[in-house]
Amino acid sequence: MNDNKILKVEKLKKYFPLKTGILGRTVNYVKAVDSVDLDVSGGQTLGLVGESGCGKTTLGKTIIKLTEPTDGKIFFNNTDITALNPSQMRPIRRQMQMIFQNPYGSLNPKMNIESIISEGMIIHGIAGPGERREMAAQLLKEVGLSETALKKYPHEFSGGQRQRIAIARVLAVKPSFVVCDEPVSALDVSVQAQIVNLLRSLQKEYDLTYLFISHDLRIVRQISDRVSVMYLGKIVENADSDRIYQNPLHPYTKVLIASVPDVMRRKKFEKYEVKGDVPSPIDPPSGCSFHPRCPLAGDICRKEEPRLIEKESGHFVSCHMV
Amino acid sequence: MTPMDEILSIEDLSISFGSRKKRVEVVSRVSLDIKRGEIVCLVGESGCGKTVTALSIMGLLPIPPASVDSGTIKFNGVDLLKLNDNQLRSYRGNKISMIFQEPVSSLNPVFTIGEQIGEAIRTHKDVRRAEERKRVIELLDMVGIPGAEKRYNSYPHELSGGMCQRVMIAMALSCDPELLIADEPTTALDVTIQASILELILDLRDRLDMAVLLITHDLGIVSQIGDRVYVLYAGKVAEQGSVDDIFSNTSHPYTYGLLSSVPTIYEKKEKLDSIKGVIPNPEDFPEGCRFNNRCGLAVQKCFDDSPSLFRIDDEHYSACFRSNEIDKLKNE
Repeated sequence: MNDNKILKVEKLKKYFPLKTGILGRTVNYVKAVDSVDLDVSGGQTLGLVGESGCGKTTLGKTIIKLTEPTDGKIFFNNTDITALNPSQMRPIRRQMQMIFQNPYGSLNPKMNIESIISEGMIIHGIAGPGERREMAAQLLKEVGLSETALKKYPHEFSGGQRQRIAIARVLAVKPSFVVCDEPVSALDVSVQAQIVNLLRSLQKEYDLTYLFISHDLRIVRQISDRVSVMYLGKIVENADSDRIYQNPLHPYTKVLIASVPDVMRRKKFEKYEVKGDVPSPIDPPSGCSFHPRCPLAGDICRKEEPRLIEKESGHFVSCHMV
Repeated sequence: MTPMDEILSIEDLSISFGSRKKRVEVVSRVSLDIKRGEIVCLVGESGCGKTVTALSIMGLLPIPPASVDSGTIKFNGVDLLKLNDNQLRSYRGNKISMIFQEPVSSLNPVFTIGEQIGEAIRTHKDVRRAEERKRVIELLDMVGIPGAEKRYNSYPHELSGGMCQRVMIAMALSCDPELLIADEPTTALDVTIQASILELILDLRDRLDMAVLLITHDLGIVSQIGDRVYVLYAGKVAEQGSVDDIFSNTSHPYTYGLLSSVPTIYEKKEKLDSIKGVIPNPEDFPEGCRFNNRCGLAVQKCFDDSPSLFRIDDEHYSACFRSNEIDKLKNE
């Protein structure tokens, strides 16, 4: 069963030290990712949802080692990549790519589209100088842009088109695993739908595996096979997409789903239950970190930290009250 | 409804930007009205003229390069466009107030929030310091900020995004406005916080009988709290009506496209519907109906003539020659 897991993460931690004074003494840590277990099967999409500041992006970056993990293990295609140094990482990084949230910031304004798309091919030695141009043109068609874009610069494109260029750049190095970090949040709804459709059809065509990070549960629903819900650096629920949306178990997941303004659920939210904001990850609450906002919280939640356990087959949740 | 209930009435408003040589019209003959206690939503993609319309009500357009070429904006019968800066100031932040998309950058980082809300009160009312403080704490309490007394002395950076938006709302409410303009008030916030801010707006409308003009690109939000909707496309009203009209009897292909591209959590669709292409730049708005190059129903007439709004029923209007054939889009 483990064989088709393209990515497996065990007890992954990423702590950022907080330093003080001129001596730079470490006084505390921001536990951005705190002991996360996760796996993704080949060709599937794992949706990662949570509010801002819960550690979604840090988790995505740590998995492809854009930041070094503090502790834990990352397996990619059953190879432990946790301890690899940058030069050992390079051939693997070709297979692990990332699409970023802000298409206005992620493309170099001084490079034309051809150089943007070819840069990865050059670094990874994918195609000779003669072929690159043709491949870049082909990729542009693939993502729904015309060849004439090659000589243009990023500022000549709209947000949706830029995101398409960012996708073409990722495809240029023939990855098998792509971290999509809020790829559509900055776009208009009609454009969001276009990009989601594009990501889905490319997934089929190239057998891509996605880690799809988003705070928008409606978009995650449309693209994910499995969904993990993250809260303050920890995964609190993990199940098949259908199951999590139809039968959410963790109170936090329930609250998230109830808060979605959905056109199919007309008029008024279901009674809004949580109070306050996500607490600071520097000094998370004792026990279950959701207890100060949780409508079900009891004594045990204040004292003891719940573990992520399998409540139903394939449906994991960490809550004392379920 | 009597005309007395109408608090804001915009008629034939056209706004253009640019230099003397080259002017580009971004809002074209828009008419819109809001009644007391009503939540009216202005919907459309970015670049369709939503924010420019809102800014013109507040007299906040940068003139030049902007200019209002035609129309009236009547607030309780007074044409705001005819007022000078001084006269306008007595409306702005007083009878009409506005909240913005980025709550954190809307606040001044070097003053406490109590000081900033107090300033809004002081500007419009003659109050003593102690009275002002009392009123600020009352307002903070009203918008659901816990420990209002303590928070009076907090600086914006000490508060989260959701709390800053509550502070902005408190400031907007400080002079009992009759109209609140909310420009994408929850776009920068998380879903749970978004839900609580929208609840707050609903609750305040009920308690204070205030009218709200809510600008958003998210039809999900409209379905939750809107009473009436204006769908704007390329600077023109494409469709207007009650929320029920718009959702259940959609009569413009653009509205239909927007509605079907909104994803839902209730089902996973095989393929998400989307509107082909993107909204054109104002200088390239097409001849005829401005939506013709993206529309699945466009016929020759749509390229020759520009449709004007016509009545479908009661309060429901659409600017489409083929508004009764929207069902045909479903089979595509």
